[in-house]
Amino acid sequence: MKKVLGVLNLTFMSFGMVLLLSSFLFSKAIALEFVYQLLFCTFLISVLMELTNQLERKFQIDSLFLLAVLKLFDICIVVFPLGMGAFQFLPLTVGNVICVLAIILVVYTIGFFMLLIDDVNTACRINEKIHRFHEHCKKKHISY
Amino acid sequence: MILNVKEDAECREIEITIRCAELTESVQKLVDRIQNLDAFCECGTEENLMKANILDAYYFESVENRTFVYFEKQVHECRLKLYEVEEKYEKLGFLRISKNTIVNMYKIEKVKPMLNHKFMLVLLNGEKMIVNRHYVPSFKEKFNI
Repeated sequence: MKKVLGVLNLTFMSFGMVLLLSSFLFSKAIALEFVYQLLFCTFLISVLMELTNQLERKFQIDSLFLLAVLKLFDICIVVFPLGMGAFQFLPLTVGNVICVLAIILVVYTIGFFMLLIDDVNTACRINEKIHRFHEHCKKKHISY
Repeated sequence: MILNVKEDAECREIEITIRCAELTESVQKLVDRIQNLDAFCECGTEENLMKANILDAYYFESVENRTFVYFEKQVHECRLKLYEVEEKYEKLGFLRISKNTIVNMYKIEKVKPMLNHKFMLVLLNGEKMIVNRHYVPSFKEKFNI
């Protein structure tokens, strides 16, 4: 159930962001067909990302580079053949492919560093709690 | 918190009364901790069975279907399975950080973030452990984060 909720959460968050971005980029009104296709693409990416997470857990993948490649592959396998191919969001030209690839890389890097900042913040908060706990034990001569 | 210790020569067993306005989560933690102050785990082989205070344990590790409990300097084989350790000692601050490791949160000295979104734990005895990504949410939850 948690995994399903995680997939749905990621789907609707990415769908919302791409939809918002599209409304700024394209001056024309967004067609309902485009909305459904976009929702399908974001859902598929979320499912693939969850599968990658399962693989990571099963095979205990530690390599940061391999993980990044797998995650980027999840996005590219949907965006290029489906988004730019079948659904024709953008014409499938070399220029567009490079441009979209660059956007994916930038978004992935930003996401990666945002998560890292969050982890640093979490570690600081936990360390503060641990420090307070040990100080308290020292003061009260409690041994744990 | 006010702590009173009364000496009574007629007292046969230590009696602890906790007086509080409400049974909050922190009071419950205190109750669990007191209840298990003399919690022991059976370690060693059939011939060389010994009891060790669970609160002194740093972590439990499962290796090839055998469970080992690590103290500051010694290592003993534990008779419990890792899932049994998790069920039995969760309330005492033992938490799972990977498929085969359960750590005593009171023996953590510091936490360091890693680039692959895992956390590295430095224990009070200097040993380093890794919290796998799958266990990061429950690890954060244990510290109320």
